[in-house]
Amino acid sequence: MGASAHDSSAGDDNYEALTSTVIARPGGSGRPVATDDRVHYLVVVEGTARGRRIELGDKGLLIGRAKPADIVFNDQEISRNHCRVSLVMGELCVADAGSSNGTFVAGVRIAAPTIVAPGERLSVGTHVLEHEFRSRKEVEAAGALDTDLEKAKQYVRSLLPERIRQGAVQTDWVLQPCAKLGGDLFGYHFIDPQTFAIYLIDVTGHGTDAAMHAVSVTNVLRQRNLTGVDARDPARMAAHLNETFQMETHGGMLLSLWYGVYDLQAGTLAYTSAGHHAAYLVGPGRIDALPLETSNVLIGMMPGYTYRSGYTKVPRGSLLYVFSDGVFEIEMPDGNEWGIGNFVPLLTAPAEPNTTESRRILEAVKSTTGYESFEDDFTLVVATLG
Amino acid sequence: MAIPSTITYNDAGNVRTIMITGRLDIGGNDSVATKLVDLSEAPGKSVVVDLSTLSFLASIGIRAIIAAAKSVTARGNKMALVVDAGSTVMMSIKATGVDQLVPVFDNPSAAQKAALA
Repeated sequence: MGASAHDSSAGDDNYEALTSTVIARPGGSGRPVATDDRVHYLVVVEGTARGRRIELGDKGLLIGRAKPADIVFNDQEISRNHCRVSLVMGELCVADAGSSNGTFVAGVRIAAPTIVAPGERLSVGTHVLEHEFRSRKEVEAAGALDTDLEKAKQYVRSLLPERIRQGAVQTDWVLQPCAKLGGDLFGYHFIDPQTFAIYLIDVTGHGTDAAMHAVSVTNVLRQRNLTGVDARDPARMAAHLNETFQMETHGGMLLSLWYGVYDLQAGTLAYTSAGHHAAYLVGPGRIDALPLETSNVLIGMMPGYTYRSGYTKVPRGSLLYVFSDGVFEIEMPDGNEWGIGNFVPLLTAPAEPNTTESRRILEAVKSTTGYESFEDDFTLVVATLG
Repeated sequence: MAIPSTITYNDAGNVRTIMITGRLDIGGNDSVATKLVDLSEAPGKSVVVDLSTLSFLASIGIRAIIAAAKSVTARGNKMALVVDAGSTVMMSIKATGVDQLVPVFDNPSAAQKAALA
């Protein structure tokens, strides 16, 4: 059975709480109000009615298993009245309505009304809905012309790793895709119980070809047992990718790579950046951000290139920030670049309660630049290295 | 405020100088990147790409520069770039390692000499 949406006529008991949450959010005041024609949508990306797009209006919508819910999913893990989504001060908020199995935003069970940022996912039962903030024209064009692009976007999203919430190494991330579909993709895994690998790639250009190339490269990086390549050696891994994905034999595609390997026992991090800007390591005291960068060329550019790697000790509990250039290459209204020099200081700002680190930074970038969405993919992965 | 990018060229002897202005990114004109590759294929000429008035260079432009450099080199000629030291464009050139493939200068005359050497 598919989902159905109706106008909400129910009173909104949670409205006051939602409003308080938004007003109380640090950095939330003073942000320019978007003056464009973009609309908030929830798109079903997993579960029944996959692909269905639900437009959010001024009235809230109740999600549940049966009417009188406005959006009904035939899902035994969803309560009759599960959660309510509303627009509060121009942002999409969700409040749990006393469900049995909980409501999740970006993989975290919410205990209070919570903002769902564009690109973030809302999970109820076995259903996952992604928040999109796009103009109707853009959506219509996507529907008419870019069905393949939409499919590619969904496929790429399905490859993103689960957040790690427990253990010595924990992760959280945010990927807010741009309308054109960028070539960002990232991942992480344990090579063995003592060795954690994390990587982010950014393929030049945009569209399905860039996204599919990113998928191909990621499929190599995800393998734990590559013949003849030690995945614990970042420089060797970069060299292997470089030989495998030369631009002449891959449609002229190039990509930047940041690849790191954390040794839990030794407390060390080996890394390489191939045509990619630095990742940053912030110690538990959040005093400064250490750039982790090596001078190497893009993957696919020069056959036979010898890649170099770097190495650093990691104080237990440090935070590693790996990100794409879309988080800082932001053109301001005056035509100037916002730039990495403005982005890095955000990393050492104090953590905030009731939000993840990646989301804190996304909100800080939005607040600082005044933009709600960006021209390129906004991809940021944060790993706590314990 | 998007700054439109433009591409022009002039030929002097055995050197073609290609000038790109504005902002070469995904919001700009992809055809400029395509045009750069086309213009670099001038028969028998070395190429100087002048980026000194370019305000921003994104990956689509990086890819075009690399493709152009490989095309020029494959024909037995040379390519050089003109980029303002300290600019964001220079940062992109260095971060991606393009300067390890194509020599970079901060003035056109030095770039032309390198292209003809």
